[in-house]
Amino acid sequence: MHVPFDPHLLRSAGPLQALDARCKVLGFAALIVCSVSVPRERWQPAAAFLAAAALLLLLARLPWGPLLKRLLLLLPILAAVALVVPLSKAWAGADRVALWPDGPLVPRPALLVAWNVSAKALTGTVLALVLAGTTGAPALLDAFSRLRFPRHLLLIASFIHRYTATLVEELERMRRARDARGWRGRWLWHTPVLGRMLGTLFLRSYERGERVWLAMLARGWNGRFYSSPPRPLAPHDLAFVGWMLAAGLALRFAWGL
Amino acid sequence: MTPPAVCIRDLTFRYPDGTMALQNLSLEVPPGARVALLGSNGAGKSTLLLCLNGLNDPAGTIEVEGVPVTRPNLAALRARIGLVFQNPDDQLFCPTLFDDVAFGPRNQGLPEDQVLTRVHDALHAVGLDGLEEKSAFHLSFGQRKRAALATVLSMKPGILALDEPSANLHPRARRELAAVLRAAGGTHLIATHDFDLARDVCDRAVLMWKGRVEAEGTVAEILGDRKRLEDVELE
Ligand SMILES: Nc1ncnc2c1ncn2[C@@H]1O[C@H](COP(=O)(O)OP(=O)(O)OP(=O)(O)O)[C@@H](O)[C@H]1O
Ligand SMILES: [Mg+2]
Repeated sequence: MHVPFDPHLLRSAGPLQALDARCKVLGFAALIVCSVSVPRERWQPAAAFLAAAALLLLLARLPWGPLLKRLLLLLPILAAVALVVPLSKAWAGADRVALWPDGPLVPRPALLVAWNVSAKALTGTVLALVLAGTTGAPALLDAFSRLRFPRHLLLIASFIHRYTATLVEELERMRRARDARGWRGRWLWHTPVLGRMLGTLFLRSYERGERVWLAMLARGWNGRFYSSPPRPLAPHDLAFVGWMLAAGLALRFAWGL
Repeated sequence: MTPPAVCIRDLTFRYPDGTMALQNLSLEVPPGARVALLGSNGAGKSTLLLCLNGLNDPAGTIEVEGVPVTRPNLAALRARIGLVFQNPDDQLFCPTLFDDVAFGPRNQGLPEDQVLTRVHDALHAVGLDGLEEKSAFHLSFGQRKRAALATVLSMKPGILALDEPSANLHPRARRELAAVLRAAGGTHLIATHDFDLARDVCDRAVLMWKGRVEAEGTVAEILGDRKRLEDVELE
């Protein structure tokens, strides 16, 4: 079974790819934090951050197909925002503007909020995808642990990364075994068979967890993870963090506090 | 006089659900021996290997190279016994193959440059050079089996305990595995259903049946006795 996982998004060559993973994490985090702190009364900074994210995206030269597929996941959220925000009671009495000539009237502040939320969500997602696509899961996990992220959270993330594909494969095998024995339900969710399959999948994952744990103990695990030391930081790694922070602050405050 | 590689006395183990997996099992493995653990499904082979590594807590005594398998000795013992699980997906849990093979040596506290050579040598021994940065789920099954072996070869264990190393391998991968095992030094304990592998790699065989040792001898003796193999449901 084909597993939609980050190898498809990854590109190994490019200017961003060569940077130290820790510096990339810090730089992108700085930009994201600055972008979410933009006040909702202004539209320009959000647009500027979106442009900055687009610029980094171009620099990263990620493959468009997988990238768009992941961005599509945002659509339902954005649609919900666009529908719900203008209906809020908070805008009673605010002046209204037409969306297009002779179009529906919406409160001006609602429009601003909807724009800000959507732009920020898009910016954050694009930046996260660029970071993931130019770094890769192993290096990213290692960078987070070197930045002293909680070890257990990282452990969980790393196991999810390692075993998602295995689980999907297992589910696929069960599905095939079910179909091979003549099961002809039209919809997967029409049947208790799915429930039983998920139950089995859960038990198998649970038992796999125990066996993995034993395999770790058998090789002398003492509760710590070690990884190869990364290459020493180069001036351009630090410069990248500096640039991202400076750009974030500049865009954030260019239109006032 | 060097103590036996493994010395087991009156081992009894019951799983929490009540299954009697090992009953009064006694076994001695001389240093450097290549022993095939033969036995039908459920005979207790996997359970025995887990006990060797202190992963089950049985009644009776086990000594590995003269050192009893007890809690305070576990860290040192686990560095001496390389246990490879039947399913390579249980054994390969790191983001990259390199990290998986480096996991044991790093836990032993080796400096990074030694870890590097260990990983390199182990991957070379199993013929997976150059795949260091691959993730385990992008390897074929046969490659994963060999990678699982590399994760313990890198620890340079004195004793290799392998659970069904050739299960689900096609003939050629099987032959390659046998060659890797013949080349690896130390004492081997190989739980297997694969008579050809036993003949290719091992000099001794232990026949298990219902949690006990039914017979012991050279591989030829054990595999030559058709009647007995039928009695223990292996033929
Ligand atoms: N986790 C467990 N919980 C309960 N019973 C178990 C567990 N693992 C194994 N058993 C039981 O213990 C007995 C010995 O099992 P074991 O896995 O050691 O056999 P085996 O010789 O390795 O068999 P196979 O050749 O099928 O791998 C079997 O009866 C089995 O059902
Ligand atoms: Mg077994």
